[in-house]
Amino acid sequence: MSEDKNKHHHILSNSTSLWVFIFLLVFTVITVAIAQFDFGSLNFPVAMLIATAKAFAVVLFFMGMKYDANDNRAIFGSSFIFLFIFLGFTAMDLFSRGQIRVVGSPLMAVVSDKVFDKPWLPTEEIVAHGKAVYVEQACATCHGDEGLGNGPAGVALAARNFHEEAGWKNGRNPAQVFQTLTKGLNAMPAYSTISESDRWAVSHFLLTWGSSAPAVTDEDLAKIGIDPNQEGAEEKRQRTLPVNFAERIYLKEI
Amino acid sequence: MSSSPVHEHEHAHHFRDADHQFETNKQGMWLFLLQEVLFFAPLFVGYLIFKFIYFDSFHEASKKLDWVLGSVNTVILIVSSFTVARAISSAQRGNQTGVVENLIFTMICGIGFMVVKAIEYSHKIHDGFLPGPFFTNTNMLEVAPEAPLFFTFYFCMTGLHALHVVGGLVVFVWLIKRAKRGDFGPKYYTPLELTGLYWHFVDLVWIFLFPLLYLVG
Repeated sequence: MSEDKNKHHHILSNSTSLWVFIFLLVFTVITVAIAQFDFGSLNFPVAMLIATAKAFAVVLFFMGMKYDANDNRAIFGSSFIFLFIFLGFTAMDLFSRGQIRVVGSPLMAVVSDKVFDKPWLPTEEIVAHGKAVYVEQACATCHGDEGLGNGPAGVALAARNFHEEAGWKNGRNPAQVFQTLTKGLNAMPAYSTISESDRWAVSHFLLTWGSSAPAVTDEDLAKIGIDPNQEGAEEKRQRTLPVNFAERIYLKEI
Repeated sequence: MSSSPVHEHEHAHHFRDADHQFETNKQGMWLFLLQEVLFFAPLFVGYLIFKFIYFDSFHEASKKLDWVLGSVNTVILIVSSFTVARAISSAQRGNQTGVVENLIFTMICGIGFMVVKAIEYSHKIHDGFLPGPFFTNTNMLEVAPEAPLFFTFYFCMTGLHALHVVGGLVVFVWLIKRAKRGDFGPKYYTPLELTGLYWHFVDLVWIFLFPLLYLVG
């Protein structure tokens, strides 16, 4: 092999490599220094910008991309194009989910451990708890934050608008709403996995949206198989753990 | 291989000349690095997704990482990137001792990186910050319920990166042996060039891992 064939092999000069080295060190110090202060949402883009600048210095000079053939540039560059397609589409999905992603982990807020004495009475306390259950069970996904039946998934499933009084198939009495929650209705799934108190609570809560709902009578309760005066009914309710609640406790313990 | 005296005059019969062989080898390395980017990509994308979903938990958990040790490792890798580049330019200029010295220094940096990593890992294990079901730090769970997931990402990402460092160290042992024998010079330094590309890529991954995990997590 003749000497001249080797001439296009670029030799990185000592001064260039030293400058790149210094550049990398300085920007490392800068990014560490900036991270000691909280600039809110600015910290992340600034850190990524500095990392990208450092990456360019490494790729262009140390890896010699600046002096390399175009096909090698295309090869390595394309890997980042695919990385950004992957990242871009995932981010697009993540940021267009709205309500669903704020529901959080099932391990977080345990709101289901409340048991109410005579849960068919719409006390202020149980209504407030019902609101928490409404959020926790992500009812708003279909029924909307304001109960208008306009949640992200609500249109396709013709979710009930709680403000409307007409067309309640099981009736608008809390006991009947409770029954719907227990057994489900058309697209509405059964929520028998959440505790009885939770089902009562959310029934009372969602009925606060329309005109005031009728009070629950003993006959209403009898229709759904509840005897309000039965001895030990309270205790029985307390001893029954809904499956997903038990699951949560179990996950917390391990 | 050990008995071949003059590498610079050799090239495989399916190449036009040694230069053609060098360029082809290098392109192969770039193709390998392309798949390396895609190999690390899911971890980075996965981490970013969960970072935004469980923002507070990840924030709390990332505070448990030692940014001083992380910074030390960042500097170590930058120095080693510099010395590996110097090893290559030494070979290109025919400076045999320069090649050996720079390679040995690079290797010491790589070992130093692994020592710091081992210190960090032992601290995390001691504090019960192992990933997923092996996470035993209950105090942390109260502040950051999703901390085990953060540490799953931490160990997977830094672990995969550390494996790359170890792989590089093995190659450096071989390179130092060959450099001492005087195998590398202006006309033949392909293994140095390819290992250099690989080693810079390892640095590149760390350049992004460090701020993502230690600084803005």
